[in-house]
Amino acid sequence: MDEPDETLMARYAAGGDRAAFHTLFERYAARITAYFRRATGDAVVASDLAQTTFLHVHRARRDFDTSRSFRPWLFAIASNVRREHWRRIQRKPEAPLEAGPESSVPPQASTASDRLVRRAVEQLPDNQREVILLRWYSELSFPEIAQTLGIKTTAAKVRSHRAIKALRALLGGTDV
Amino acid sequence: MRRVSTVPPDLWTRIEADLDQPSARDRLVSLSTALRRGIAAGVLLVAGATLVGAQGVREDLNSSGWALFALCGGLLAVVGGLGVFTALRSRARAPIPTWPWVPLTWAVLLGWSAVGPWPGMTGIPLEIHIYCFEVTSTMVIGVSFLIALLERARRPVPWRVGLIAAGAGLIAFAFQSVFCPGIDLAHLVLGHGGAGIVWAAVAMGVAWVFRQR
Repeated sequence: MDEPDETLMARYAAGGDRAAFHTLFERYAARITAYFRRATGDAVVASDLAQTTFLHVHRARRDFDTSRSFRPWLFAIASNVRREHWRRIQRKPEAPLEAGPESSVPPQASTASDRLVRRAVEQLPDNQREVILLRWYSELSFPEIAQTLGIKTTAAKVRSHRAIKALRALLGGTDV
Repeated sequence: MRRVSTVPPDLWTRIEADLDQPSARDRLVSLSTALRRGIAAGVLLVAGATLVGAQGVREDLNSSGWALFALCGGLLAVVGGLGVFTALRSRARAPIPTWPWVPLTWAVLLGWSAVGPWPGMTGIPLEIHIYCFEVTSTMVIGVSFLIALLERARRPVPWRVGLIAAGAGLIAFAFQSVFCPGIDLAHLVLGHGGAGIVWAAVAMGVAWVFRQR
């Protein structure tokens, strides 16, 4: 049977067990990369941010509380990395935030409806966009999102509801 | 909606390369958050005590104002402690919004004013302005460097380093009052408050240049 994430992280934190960290990487690298790719629309940037996230996991390993879930802890780090990246590129006009972020997404990986939805998601306020990224693209539950963002579960649900409502309006009533 | 992603084949190799060659700072920031906060608080306490020991406290506080001194010291410890606590917060926690620092800063400054009117000297010569600026600058640079050393961010974010330097400036401004009786407005601006503003601007400028590379 697969070892729980929390046990692996505890082993890595306690003794620096690299194999345990690698297993966690294998379990979550795709999801973390997808999260950043959806957030930035750029495969190269997403890869860099995923690398930064796992390095932060390594640095913060001694802060991990084994009585709590690993996934919200990991995504809280990813969320902070995304937020810092967002702030950085907001001050850097040449960065591809608003202008055609799908340019580096290969056509076969991005349908027309995907691109429409991604553009709409980019127009959401940051706190709503975050919930959408975590819920739909990273497949976190509402309690996990709440833990990730340090808010109540009901607040996470409210943000998600508002985000979906805003997306519907942006997409002209299309089912999201 | 579907999740579209492929993990770059070299991602783990890049991460391992970083893990295999940790710098001294990597080791430092890999300490637990509690320990990093403890180190920062300890260093600040020792530095503060050393500075007070070397400079001596104001004579008027020494003779009659110990309660006031204790109140200000307590206030300073709370603000400085909160600053260190926030600046060294774990990356795995949701960030604390920065706006509460604005009313908090004002509350401290108003509180500082409310415990006065402070006895003190006016008509201060330029050398004293410069001397106090140097002392305050030493504190600002020292505190900022300490926080930057223990903070886990990989690349400096201009607003963040500016905030840290400004926070250090606030701590230094308040701390300076412990041993400098100057209440002259020009002296407070040039000698005490100016260092925080100047070094916050310098830190933001350096971070901005660094970011452009």
